[in-house]
Amino acid sequence: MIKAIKIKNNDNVATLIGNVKANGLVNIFNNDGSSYEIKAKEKILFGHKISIKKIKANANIIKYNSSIGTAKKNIDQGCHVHTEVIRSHYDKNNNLEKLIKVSLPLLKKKISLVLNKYIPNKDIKKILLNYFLEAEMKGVKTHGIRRLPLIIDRIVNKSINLNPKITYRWKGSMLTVDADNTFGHFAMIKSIEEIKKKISSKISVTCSIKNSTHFGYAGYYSSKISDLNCISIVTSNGPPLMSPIGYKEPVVSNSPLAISAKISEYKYFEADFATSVTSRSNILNAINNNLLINEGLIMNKKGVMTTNKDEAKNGILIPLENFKGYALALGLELLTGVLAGGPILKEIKHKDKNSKNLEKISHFILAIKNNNYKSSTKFVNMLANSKRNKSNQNYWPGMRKYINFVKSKKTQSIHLNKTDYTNLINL
Amino acid sequence: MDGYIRSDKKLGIRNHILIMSAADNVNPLSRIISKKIKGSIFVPASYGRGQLGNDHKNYLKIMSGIIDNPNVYKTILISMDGDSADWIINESNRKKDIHKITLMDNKNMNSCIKEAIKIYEVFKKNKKYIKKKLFNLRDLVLGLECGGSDTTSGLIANPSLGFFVDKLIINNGSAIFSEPVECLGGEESLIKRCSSRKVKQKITNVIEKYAKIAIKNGVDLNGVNPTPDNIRGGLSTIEEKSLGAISKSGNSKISGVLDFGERLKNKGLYLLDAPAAAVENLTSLVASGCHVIIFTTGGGNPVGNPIAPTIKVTANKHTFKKFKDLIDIDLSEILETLNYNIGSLKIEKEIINVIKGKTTASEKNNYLETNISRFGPSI
Repeated sequence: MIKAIKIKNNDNVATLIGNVKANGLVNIFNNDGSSYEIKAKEKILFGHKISIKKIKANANIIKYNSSIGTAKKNIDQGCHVHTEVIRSHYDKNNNLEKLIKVSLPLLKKKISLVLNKYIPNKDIKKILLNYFLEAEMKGVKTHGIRRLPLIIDRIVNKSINLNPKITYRWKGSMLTVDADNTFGHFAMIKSIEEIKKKISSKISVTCSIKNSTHFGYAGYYSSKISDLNCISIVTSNGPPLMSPIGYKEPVVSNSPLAISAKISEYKYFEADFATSVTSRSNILNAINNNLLINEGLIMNKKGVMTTNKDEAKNGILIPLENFKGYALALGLELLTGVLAGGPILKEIKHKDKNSKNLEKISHFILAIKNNNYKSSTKFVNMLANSKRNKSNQNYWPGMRKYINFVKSKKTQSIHLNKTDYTNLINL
Repeated sequence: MDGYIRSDKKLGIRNHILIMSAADNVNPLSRIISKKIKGSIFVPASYGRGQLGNDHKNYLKIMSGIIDNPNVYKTILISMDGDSADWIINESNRKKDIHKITLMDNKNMNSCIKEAIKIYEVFKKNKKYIKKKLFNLRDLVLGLECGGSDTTSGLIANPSLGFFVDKLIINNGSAIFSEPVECLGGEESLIKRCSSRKVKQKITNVIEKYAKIAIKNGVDLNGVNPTPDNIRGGLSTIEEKSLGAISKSGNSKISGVLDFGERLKNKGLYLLDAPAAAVENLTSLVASGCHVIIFTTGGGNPVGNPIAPTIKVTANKHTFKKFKDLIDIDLSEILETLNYNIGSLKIEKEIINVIKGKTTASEKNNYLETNISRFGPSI
């Protein structure tokens, strides 16, 4: 008779030591040598598994006394248990981060609770709520609710103006804005509203904003501007965080650059990146969650690359392709701080946890009317159809955000980084 | 069973005298010397110059770890300029067991060779004065390795080894398993076996680390595992594949995680952070202090380690026939009896014989190799 071995007592499958035909008998051996018979419902080959009990759909398949996956459907005793009926625990998400599922209304409520506690101005609250919800729905975890604790710190330190008087000045098609040290998010959305008023009579608009604070991720705004039927560029400066390898102090911010065009509803081309290899937020997240810091991301104060967590905490970010990213960041400083007449480079103070410094950073917006709407759609379609490895999906900038957004809108739920969510609740 | 007392009070089961290169530029010289001295063990350097940062630190940890392995009696360390040897000596806990020979400080190559032979003869003579003590199972640090796995590995060879490991740990012995990358998918079952939160966290981190390195280099391990070959053989998920590999460590409590190159200081079962490829992995196990390594294989993997006798085990009778010269234990009969205890006893008997001095198949055929993992670029 064909033998099968049940490796541990709790297992609900056994592995065959020989080939069995449908309706053949199988002798199931416990690991101590005792045995009993069951009938195979189908043909099963050497090394493959047979169910020794009824297994309900979604129940664990147990081998080595551990779950090797869950059942895709009800499995009778004596069946061939293989890829067709087992779902690996890794199928659901390939993400190694610890994620938890939260419903959208609940997340909205939790963010509102925090904002209500600290911010009196309704207008600001609404804009911030929209921003954080959309950032999380689009999966921009580095600039989503993970940033809220930092923002709250700055409110408590009074380094953000909660009742700003934002001023706008038009000169031809150039708009200059003084944000009066309010939230960058608020200043940006307000400026975009101002641009919206005038854009119909213009071909393009540039907008310089000074005395502002960190605005989140730049792509959010460039895509909002592309809603005005524009192709848009958004960038910002910030406190120095980055230098080429060998520098003992940071010279320039790892300024973001975003370029957007609208394709259809919710769908944007959105090239959005910072000029460093990785963001500071990613480094801090790795330190806080005790993850590995890869080589080539950050330097210590001697200008030498490091993977050491303590050194990385106050380390200097490395620019994209070293001098190229450095040059790009300096170019962006020209468009932001220099053009707006705000502080530049080292003049911009760090927004450390306890500092009362006003940030006084500058942003820059360029909005150009796009009458060739079809051409940008064709552009993205061409990207989406480029040939790539079988295992990899085609990619265009903004695709991941689009897929995440549509998915969370449809399911009304969102997968959040567990630490980020716990921090939000504790605020 | 005799154990030989070392200068750091540890007990060894062999009295190896190593001819070691401090860097790759003296490998030819050390090779000539070791060929002239029968019975010596040649440990070549992999690189050793131009390495940076952590990569260089890891290199020194492993080289000094090999010197500090309790099976090693003395080391003759050959170097070109002295510096590369000193870096290794500084990391060693048994500095007085090392004799340094520097090519630059010698008249010529021949005088180096003469010096090495002279020193070796002195060491060899002194072997008879080594103090002995009874070697018990509780003194044993067993390395666990698997390679060239097939269906029989996860089904027979690894669980049988796991059965023995449980017995060893109950008897206060120690074991080190490695290859964290092969634990991907089996984290849950490993975590269940740790009592402290710190160890749980460390296990998760070390497994994630290798998954991330793979992703960074364009390979999604979850995506490629199990391989089409595995699936044809009956493996359905990555969890199942990992659990088959992990089963060689039994069910015992996991006491901790060793960093790459870290020496075992306490007793118990440990996971070692090291790349999975057999030669590198065996070398890391030796640097962490293993006396003996049990190496289970399915389709066959020929290699053994020169410092820790490597006992090869298979449950695939075709493999045993094919690699008879290189495999020590055939467990294919367990496919009939389906009793892991019998497999475990066979492994135990062979370990005791090897401790008593029996040479393993790979030792007999001199199929032995060392190599040190490389994590960074040269400049």
